[in-house]
Amino acid sequence: MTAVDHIRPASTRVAIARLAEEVVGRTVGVSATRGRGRWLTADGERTIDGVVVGQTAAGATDVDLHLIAEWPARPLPPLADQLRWELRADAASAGLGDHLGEIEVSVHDFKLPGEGGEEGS
Amino acid sequence: MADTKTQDDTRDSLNSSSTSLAARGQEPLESEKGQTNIADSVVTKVAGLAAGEVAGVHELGGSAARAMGAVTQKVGLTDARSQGVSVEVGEKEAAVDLTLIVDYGESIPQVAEDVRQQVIKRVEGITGLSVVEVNISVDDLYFAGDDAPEESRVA
Repeated sequence: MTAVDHIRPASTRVAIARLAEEVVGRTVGVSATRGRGRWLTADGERTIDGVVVGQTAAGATDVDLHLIAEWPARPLPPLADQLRWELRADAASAGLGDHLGEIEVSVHDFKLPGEGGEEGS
Repeated sequence: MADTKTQDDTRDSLNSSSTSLAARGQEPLESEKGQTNIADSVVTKVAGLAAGEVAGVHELGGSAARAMGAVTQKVGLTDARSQGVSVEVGEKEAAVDLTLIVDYGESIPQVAEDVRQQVIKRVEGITGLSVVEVNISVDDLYFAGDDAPEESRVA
């Protein structure tokens, strides 16, 4: 977050993207895709990698999480549900629960031991 | 060289199978909570690791793939653990093709069946995708000592 962000309140979509970034960052077994330039949200002078937010016609904010799974392998569907659940909980706590639409999770690659760098498909 | 391969038309049924994981007590990839997408490379790596766990599997990949893989791995384009694995992934189902080198003395049908079961178990368990087929080609046999350098004929 830059100094400018403290002065200017984040839009709903950026605020939700930041929450998504935090949820992914604290979840063991996954990391956000980085370095591809395709899946990100602009947040002032920085980018939120692996998170794409979009506004629906109904006004809800849909979230797409683009992730790399990490070793040791965990079953991915429950991990994806955990991410959804935590993001919804965090959004509700932040007063953004009503704005949050669908949350789609895409796992692009599996990072194995000894494998360096990024990235997904 | 031994070769055993099975091919079904089940790929046409990718994403339309009635044998859903939910029916088997596993978490579905699409629920009212949202959609989960799994990329090909995820399935490729899980299947490659699973096949390598089976006793009797010496290595994955045919001779040409291994020769090419030796080059591409050096420049960081591929990983040995995904060599010899090709997958087709739909929204809910996956099909896996594997090329193996089997240790000489092992029963090829038994190794192939063990690999099939292990790949299905791991891919379904980790990704939540339903594995509709695992095709196995045994490209070569490995004899102990194959890797030993040839002795020089002259002193």
